[in-house]
Amino acid sequence: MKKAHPRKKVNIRKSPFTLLEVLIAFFLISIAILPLVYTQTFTYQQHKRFIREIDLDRIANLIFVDILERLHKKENISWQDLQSGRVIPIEQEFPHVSGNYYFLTHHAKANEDQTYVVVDYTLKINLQIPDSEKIYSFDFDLLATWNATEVQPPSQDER
Amino acid sequence: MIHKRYTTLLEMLIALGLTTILLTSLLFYYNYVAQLNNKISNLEHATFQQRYLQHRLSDLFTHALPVKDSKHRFFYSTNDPDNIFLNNTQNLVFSYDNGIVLNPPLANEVLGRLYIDRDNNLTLMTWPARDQWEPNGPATAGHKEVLLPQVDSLTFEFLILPKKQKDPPKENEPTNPFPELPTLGWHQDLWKKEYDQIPSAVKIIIRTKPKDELITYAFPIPKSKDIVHFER
Repeated sequence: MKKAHPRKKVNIRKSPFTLLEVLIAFFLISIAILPLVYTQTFTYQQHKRFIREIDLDRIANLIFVDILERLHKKENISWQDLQSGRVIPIEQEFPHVSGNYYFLTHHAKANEDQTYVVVDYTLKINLQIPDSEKIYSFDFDLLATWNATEVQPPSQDER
Repeated sequence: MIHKRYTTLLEMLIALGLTTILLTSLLFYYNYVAQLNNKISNLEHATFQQRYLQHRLSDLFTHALPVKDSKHRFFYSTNDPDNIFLNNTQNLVFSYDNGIVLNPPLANEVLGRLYIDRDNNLTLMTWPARDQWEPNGPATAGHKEVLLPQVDSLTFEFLILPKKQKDPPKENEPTNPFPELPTLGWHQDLWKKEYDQIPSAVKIIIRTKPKDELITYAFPIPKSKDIVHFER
């Protein structure tokens, strides 16, 4: 008679997770969440930057009005600055905004008896916000007359 | 024989602790995202309102009409003598070109008043031009336009510059077109009707209510036709 094989005792050892393994898994999950948080923060930063960008229009108007006043009062801006197109830094302090401005000469015309010259200028205001290399340029037209008896009028080709 | 091993209380507690930490961080993240979205939404709303105000005011003052020697055009500010606006704040009355609109009496030359109403709205009220009024007042109801809500105060400053001169100034000729005013420059008092002029530029300073934020707008008025005169 064939002897039956004795049934082998199968020892299934269920391997439990150790605390260290669980902590590692938890740490990995936490790292995976970080990019999600970063995306939201980045979106918020982008929005703030966009708001600063569109506020530049208001700031450019404030600077233009200030320059207009100083031109009339002859404060810190001379006719040489207009003629030479020298780049002048903006003195007014605005949070998160820096920049400069200069004048472009477009057209000059003397009156009949050559006593004064009317010059058409474009005032270019360049503004910049932090963390951005982009320069935002705003143009304003203005007319100036100056006494031509002592000063040579600019040529029409002068730009 | 499979020996079933039961979870111990300690393991259960650790599992619960870790789940709590995980849920807390997830809820924290969810809350953080919700707050950021709320902030972004508020920022967008406030920015677009201010952007609209900037655009609208720029358009208004670009089309402000000169008042000299005209009985039907105005440019003056008052301190609310009848106490009909918010907290006796300043308001500005001015004539401007409204362009083409559907309502004919409010097209082209009209009369506007910029003020804060009692609900803290920065408001523009527009009526037909003064020469179209009947003896008892305007025949057509005015148009009320809320430019910016939640405004607490409104003040104006006016830039006074030398008048346009075709020729260089002659000797003893006054360069100040407003003999009543002390100096050229920014005029912070009320702009009186008697000046019979429009200023070269207007600064509008508003204080918004929720953030108590002071915002300054400046607008040159092209119709004032100021020319910079340089003399060596």
